[in-house]
Amino acid sequence: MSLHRIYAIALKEWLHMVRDRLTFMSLMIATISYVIVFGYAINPDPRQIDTIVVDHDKSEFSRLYKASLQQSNYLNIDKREMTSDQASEYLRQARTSVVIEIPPDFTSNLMSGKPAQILVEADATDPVSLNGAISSTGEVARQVAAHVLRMDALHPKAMGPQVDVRVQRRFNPSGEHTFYIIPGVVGMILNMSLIMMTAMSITREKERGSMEFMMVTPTQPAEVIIGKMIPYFFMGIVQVISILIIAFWLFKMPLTGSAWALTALLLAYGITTLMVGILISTMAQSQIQAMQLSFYYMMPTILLTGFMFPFSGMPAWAQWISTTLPMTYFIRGARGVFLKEFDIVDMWPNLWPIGLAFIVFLVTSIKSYRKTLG
Amino acid sequence: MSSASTIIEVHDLTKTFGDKTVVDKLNMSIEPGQLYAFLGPNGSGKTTAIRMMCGLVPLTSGGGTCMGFDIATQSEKIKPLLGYMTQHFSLYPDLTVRENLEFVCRLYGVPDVRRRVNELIDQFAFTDLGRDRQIVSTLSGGWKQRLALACAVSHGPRLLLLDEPTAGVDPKAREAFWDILQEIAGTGVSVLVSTHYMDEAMRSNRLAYMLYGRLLVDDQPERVIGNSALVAVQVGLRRQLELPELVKVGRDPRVVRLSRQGNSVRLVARSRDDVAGWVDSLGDVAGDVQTIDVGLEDIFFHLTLQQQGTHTSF
Repeated sequence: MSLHRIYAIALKEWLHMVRDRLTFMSLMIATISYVIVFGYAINPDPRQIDTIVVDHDKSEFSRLYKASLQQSNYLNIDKREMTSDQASEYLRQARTSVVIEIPPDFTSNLMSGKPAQILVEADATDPVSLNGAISSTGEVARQVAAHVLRMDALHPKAMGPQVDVRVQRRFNPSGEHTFYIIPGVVGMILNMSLIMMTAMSITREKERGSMEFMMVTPTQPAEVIIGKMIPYFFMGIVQVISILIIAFWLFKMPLTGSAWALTALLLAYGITTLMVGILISTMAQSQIQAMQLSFYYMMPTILLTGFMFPFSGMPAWAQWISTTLPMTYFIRGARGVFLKEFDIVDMWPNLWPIGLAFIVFLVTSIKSYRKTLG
Repeated sequence: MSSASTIIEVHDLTKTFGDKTVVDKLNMSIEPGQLYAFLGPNGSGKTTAIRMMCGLVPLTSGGGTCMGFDIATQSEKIKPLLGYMTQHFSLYPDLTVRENLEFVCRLYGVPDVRRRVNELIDQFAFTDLGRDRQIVSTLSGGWKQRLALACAVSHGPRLLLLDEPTAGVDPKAREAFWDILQEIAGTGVSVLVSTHYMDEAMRSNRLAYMLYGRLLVDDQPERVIGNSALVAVQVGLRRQLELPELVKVGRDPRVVRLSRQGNSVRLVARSRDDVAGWVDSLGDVAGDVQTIDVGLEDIFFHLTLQQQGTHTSF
């Protein structure tokens, strides 16, 4: 062991690191921004879950109940008035996570000492987010009911107000975590294999010098891009089929929606993911850089898209970031088609943003693919 | 002068990167079937000039035509008629010889790929020892370059641009490579080949010497040597010169190039008088003086010296 040699190697390595501007800067920027973004955004015990209250009772109780739920910080109550059907559709489309329904006879039942019912419907395709929220709806209802009764100086004979909260876990009644995880896993595996493989395959051509050779042949940039995508696209299809076979046979995953909707989603997401790989490869100069950039892209797709941590638990700005990531729509669409009976029309709100991302990535890639060596 | 049959015709071709001028007002023309050697030290701008001629690098100023098409605006028309070999081997080491050839033929849209690949395999002697089915990474440097050349001619181009194709290849393989190259040029294909090897330059029809982005020589190799007034001698030494002595005599302004051989020194000077004067200055150390041939390298040394205005060792 020679300290001199270790010093020589460490110094040389340091020089490599700081000379490679892209790597060095992205390392620094990623470190700082990711700590801040993920530190604030990720909350495994989410608050401010989007909730719609369908109020048929329109009473002192329901007014106070809504206000108290909002104050409890667990739920974020939608100010709009909706019918039960509208609210249910919102729940199915993942535009809200919880629907609370207060029946018309709630106050009268309460006053007459009968059990008063509240119906809570929760989107159980994302079970993590809901436990705190569900327990808080009952707790708050009992407190508010007690308060309303005291105000009216009425003391029913029973020990306390009889508020009965009926919780209905929609779309995944048994609360299977597998059902919630698998759609995300499909997305993640496509991310890993397609982005990294395509990104590295083009940068490999640059490193080898074969890109220079191809550029003096009549080959067009679009031909390179499409030609590069095709084999990986087929590889992606094989992977998806394998995952689906395992999901259906081994985990008994249901497919409640339309197979066409699922196919459309997978195709759109697969091609867009390939395009991300191509885009990264046009920016990276070496395979190492391509791998790093792929990794930086994948971090937020794991953490901010609702795959690992509930979307509803993130602050608004983090939710905004996640709306720019195709994976967010893939996860919503995949959970929808597996568990919420999505047909192609239901899928559309998740398909077009993925398609838009594809166009943006395609145009940027073709622009940044250097036709000449500068 | 421009003529209808000229393959490459460039005028005042200039390329700058930032404030560095890499190619400076280059004027050159290449005739059909000509084997044109492009010489110059590393960094003299040869690669950039070649890349500009085929539209791979945008021009800063100047212009020209390649096979009748404008190099600044019509590179798409030039590419199908052009064969190109990069400085470093740039084919696919994990594919076989045949697979590489098939790939390149398909890129160029060769009609009958299988037949053409078989022709190329025969022409470039890849059938020996079944090299056509060999994975390219297991080939020697010479065979890799031969494959790159086969790929460059796969579509029957009218012009070959070869950027240092024989760098790092052993002499025997280089000779074989040039035999093929001369054969190809014999069929009417024009070849522009950059090289550091003077023996290769001597095998070409015409040569250009570039320094600091400027063209210093553009002539037939025989005429370049014939027109040179330089004199080369080999001076035997009665004893070995010590380093300070050697440095002193080497810096003599009469010396164009001085190199120490085993037991003698090789001197290139501008005239016989300069040689005589210099030999005298050695005193009793100098032994027999024998006149030897001046090579292209000596002439380029002299040109470089004139440009730099000072002695440089390479």
